[in-house]
Amino acid sequence: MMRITAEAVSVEIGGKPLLDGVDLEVRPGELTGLIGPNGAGKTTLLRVLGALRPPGSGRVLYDGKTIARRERPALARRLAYLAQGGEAHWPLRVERLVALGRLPHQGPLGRASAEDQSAVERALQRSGVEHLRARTLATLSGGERMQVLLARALAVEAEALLADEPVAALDPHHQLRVMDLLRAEARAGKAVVVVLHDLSLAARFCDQLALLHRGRLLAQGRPESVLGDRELASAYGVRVLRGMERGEPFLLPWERLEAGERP
Amino acid sequence: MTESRGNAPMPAWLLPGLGLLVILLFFLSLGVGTMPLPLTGTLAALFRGESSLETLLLLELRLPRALLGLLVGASLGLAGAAMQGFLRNPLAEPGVIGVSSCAAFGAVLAFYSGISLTFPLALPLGGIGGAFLSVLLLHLLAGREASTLSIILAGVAINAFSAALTSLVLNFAPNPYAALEIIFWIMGSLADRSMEHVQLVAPIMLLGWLLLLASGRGLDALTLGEDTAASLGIDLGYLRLKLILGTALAVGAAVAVSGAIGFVGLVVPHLLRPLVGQQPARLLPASALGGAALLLAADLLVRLLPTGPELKLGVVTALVGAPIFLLLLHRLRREMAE
Amino acid sequence: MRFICKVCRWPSWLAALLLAFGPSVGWAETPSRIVSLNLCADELLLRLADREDIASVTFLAADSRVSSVADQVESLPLNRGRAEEILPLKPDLVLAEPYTTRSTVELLRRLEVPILDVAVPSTLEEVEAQIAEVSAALGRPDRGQAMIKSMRQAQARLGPPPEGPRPLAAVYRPNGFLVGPGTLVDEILRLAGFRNLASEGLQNHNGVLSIETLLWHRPDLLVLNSIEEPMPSLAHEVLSHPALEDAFPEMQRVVVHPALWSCGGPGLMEALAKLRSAAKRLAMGSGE
Repeated sequence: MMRITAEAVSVEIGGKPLLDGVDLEVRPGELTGLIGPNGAGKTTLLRVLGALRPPGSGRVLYDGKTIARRERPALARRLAYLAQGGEAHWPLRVERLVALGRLPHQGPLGRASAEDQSAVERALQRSGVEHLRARTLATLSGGERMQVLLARALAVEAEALLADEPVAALDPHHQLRVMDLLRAEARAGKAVVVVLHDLSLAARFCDQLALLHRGRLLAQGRPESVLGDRELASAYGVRVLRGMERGEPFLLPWERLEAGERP
Repeated sequence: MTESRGNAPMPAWLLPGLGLLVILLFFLSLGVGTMPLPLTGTLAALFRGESSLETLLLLELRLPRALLGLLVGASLGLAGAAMQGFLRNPLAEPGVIGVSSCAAFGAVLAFYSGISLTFPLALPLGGIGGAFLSVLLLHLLAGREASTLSIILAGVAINAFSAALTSLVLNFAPNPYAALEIIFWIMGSLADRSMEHVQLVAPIMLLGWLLLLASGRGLDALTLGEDTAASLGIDLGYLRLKLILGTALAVGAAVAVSGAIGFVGLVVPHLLRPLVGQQPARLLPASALGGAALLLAADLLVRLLPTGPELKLGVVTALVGAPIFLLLLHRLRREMAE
Repeated sequence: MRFICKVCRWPSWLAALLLAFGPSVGWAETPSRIVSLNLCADELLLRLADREDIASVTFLAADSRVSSVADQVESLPLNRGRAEEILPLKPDLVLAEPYTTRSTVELLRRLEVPILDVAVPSTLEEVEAQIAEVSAALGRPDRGQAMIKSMRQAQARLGPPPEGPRPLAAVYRPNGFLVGPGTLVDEILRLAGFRNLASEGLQNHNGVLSIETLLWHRPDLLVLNSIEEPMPSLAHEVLSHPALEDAFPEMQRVVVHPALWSCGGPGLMEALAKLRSAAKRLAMGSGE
């Protein structure tokens, strides 16, 4: 069980602030959604949470402790990261690709243990890609590819999972499938963070949302409190249509707001 | 990429098989020369502690040649596989991207200036310095996830520049023969090398190999990009340092005693990648053995061919390597178009 | 260096032919603006002519790596055989090479400048004939005769080569070149009492011999025909390969400066003396 806490995290590149004083708590057992317009700093925040880049100021705590450089390999066993886009530079077969998720658990000589083997099997199964094990990524559809990459992240069997836009390029079926999977991971006790663009998916699946705008946290909390008209208008500059289906909310970006109409 | 094309897991026989091939070629290399040498008899005499013309030929001419073939070939094969994993591009190769020619320039500077006469280590150090600078330069020029185009263009520029500098140094060199020796540095050869050369570079190469072989995990992780690799606990800064230093040590030392032999690091990983399930870490030891085998075979060939003066090794490796390079380039273009 | 080597492999009959049908151009009694376009001619010129009669010698004459008279060149104008260097000197005699600098020589010939071709000799007989011919052309025949006489005396002082079977010698040059038959080197080796490896028992070696093949033929004497270059090259590295040092102990190795025996002159006797003493060492060594 891991709790990730960002305290007053700021990041600058060349004098331009990417993140500005962000406080965020990611709790185990919850699916946390990072939303916000393009360039709001979602990926930067996710990378800071994943200890892939140090914050310029502020700090990130894992169960209340910061991580030193030499402790980074140990963190890799507790925290999995699924990068955006996701392609493999070499045409490894799927099972080998998924097995890369076991690297943090292996010694410098990289011998796979029986435990590694079964973790890979579990990940393939959870992600529903067992039948693709002998294929290569390039021969798969976009949806299948993301499921495989997700399986790679699951194979780490970490306490936390950070996923950067895992559903961005997927068809609706695969979008729902991946979101179901992420929610199931959270229900199983993991701390899961996902970067999303789809507001309905964010509203339906996430336990907690963080809305970023120009590097600042505009709103944070339960989806219904974050996805208010005022917040969405100010972050995205859109008006949304809302509805309910069997007790679950959905919302549809409907029209752009002119500059003067934005709060 | 089709499903059938070589992504099956590595067969268990691969490394032992390559190892056997290297051993076989090594002994063939000891046995073959311009003059017939009864290998078993000479080896027996050697073990009895006798010394004769035959043992002298074996120990001082054939042995250094075979050892250097093995060491240089393994260094080039290994460095090729490592650079390809590092830059995530199958065209990255010490010769193609200018690392070898920069190493040659460094070695030429150390050798013809006479520094290596009083300080023999200057020769490999010159090579290592040149190689180090070029890998660093390439890293800066082409960037981390380098495109094929930027790698090749950077390679063209580095190659042309260092070849010009080498030529310049050779023309200014005080020894009248120097100007004619550019062909050795550009094409490479193992002729007339001695055990002194082996002793000079073997420890350096072994150190380079260790650094490169220790990068296997990191290269595997890099398959999915730098962020994923870092999330898997790979320290990218340390990995880059290991790869750049390891390549510089292995290639720099190799080029300092054998000249720039091209394409070994391209051909060998290309042929072996399907056999190791495309996995960068497993490609490393296989490419080292494959490189040793290829160079030993090429060196046997240049000794057996009835040419007048012995053919330079780089001629043979380029004749094999350049077509494969073009084939790879064609395939990469097609994949980019898809 | 290459220039020398190319020349030293010329067949001897060519040189003989040139001597037989030598130039018939008449020249001044004692020419006073003499130009040489050829290293072998440079050496004779500097030894036989008065200094003030010399207008120019080649740049090679000043290069101690190939020339035996480098210390005598001093401030003489050097040429590279180009017409524009030669014409302003208004030479009244030009010593040329039969096969190089031909365009310059043709031009000079059209201007009716007397030209004497000085080929590279390949036997002592040719050397003496050449000394006589050149000294006559310089108007100093007496000096030529004196040089011939002193060379003969030097040879006589050395006496006959040691008795017994003639040992085998190999003359090794940078890059593993072997000096073959039809050269002065071959002649001097023979006079010193050696057989030349390159002249017998070797086929298809096209001038270059690998260290391995060289060792295989087990020559009794290794003659390193090279100077100690202060600065390294791969070509010279061949000559200091440890296998050569181990296969040929001090007694079986001798270094002869190429300038001593690539042209006709007193240097030949110096080379001969060096080889003769090596032959004696070998004879004594094998007699024990």
